[in-house]
Amino acid sequence: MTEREILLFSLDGRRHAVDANSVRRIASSREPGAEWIAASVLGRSRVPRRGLVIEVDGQERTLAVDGVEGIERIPAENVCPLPPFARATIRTAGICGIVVRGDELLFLVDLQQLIRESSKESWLYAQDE
Amino acid sequence: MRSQSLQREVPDPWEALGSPDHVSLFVLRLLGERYAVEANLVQEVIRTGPITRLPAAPAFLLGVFNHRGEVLALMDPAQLLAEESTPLASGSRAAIVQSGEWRLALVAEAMEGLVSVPPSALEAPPATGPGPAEFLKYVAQTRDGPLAVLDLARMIETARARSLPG
Repeated sequence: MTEREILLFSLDGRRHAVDANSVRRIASSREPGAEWIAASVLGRSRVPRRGLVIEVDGQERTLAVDGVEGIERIPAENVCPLPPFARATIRTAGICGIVVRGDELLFLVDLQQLIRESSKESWLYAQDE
Repeated sequence: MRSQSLQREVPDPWEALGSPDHVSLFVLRLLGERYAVEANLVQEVIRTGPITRLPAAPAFLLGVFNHRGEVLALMDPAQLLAEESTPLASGSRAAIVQSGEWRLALVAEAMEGLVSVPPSALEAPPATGPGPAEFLKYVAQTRDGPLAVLDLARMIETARARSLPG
């Protein structure tokens, strides 16, 4: 059985998943002057004490999240693409799939896309104050 | 086994599928009115279970749900027809439809089921314009009242077009 490693995190009251390999590291506190992305299409971090650090276009970028629950191995078949009608009509590329975790459906987040959108469109972007 | 007398009293509407002298329609209630889709596009009527709402979704995309291991999108046709919401609760009924490559579920206020009408009963919809008429394929008079037959392919294409950026 093929497995995938997902990293579970919480943001704005909801649990989400991201491919564990796409995260370079988890930042635990903000360095002076560091800019974290505090708001995105997934909502705004309520308590931005953790940051998911990834590389976007050759630069390190950090998405503030409320908590990191850890890494979980799940059967690959539990990860499905977004239903075609949802993929065709949703106004973000930051969600690339759905993780079926028991009775729970989690968004599989494409952090690179999410952060690119956050940088491009001001309504998705707000600096942590 | 079904008795002869019951067959005479209640003809099986599925038998009308493919019959040249009848068109089978699946009737659902939206916006307080009777609408229908062609019955051969309806694969199943189900109860939805918990809906997971999607961020950055247009109003007609209510979310996704898990149906026996398959994650399906749930659309509210009333939002496209009139920008009104169909009341929705966990366990609401939905019709799973397949139109070309698109497989999704539709919510409605009620699912009435199958009716069979002669092709001669189907008429062209009123002149199109913004609003429900834009999405109608036919209108028909039936024993239970007027019926508006939705053009599902057009609804899906319009939904996609309205979701394009810009």
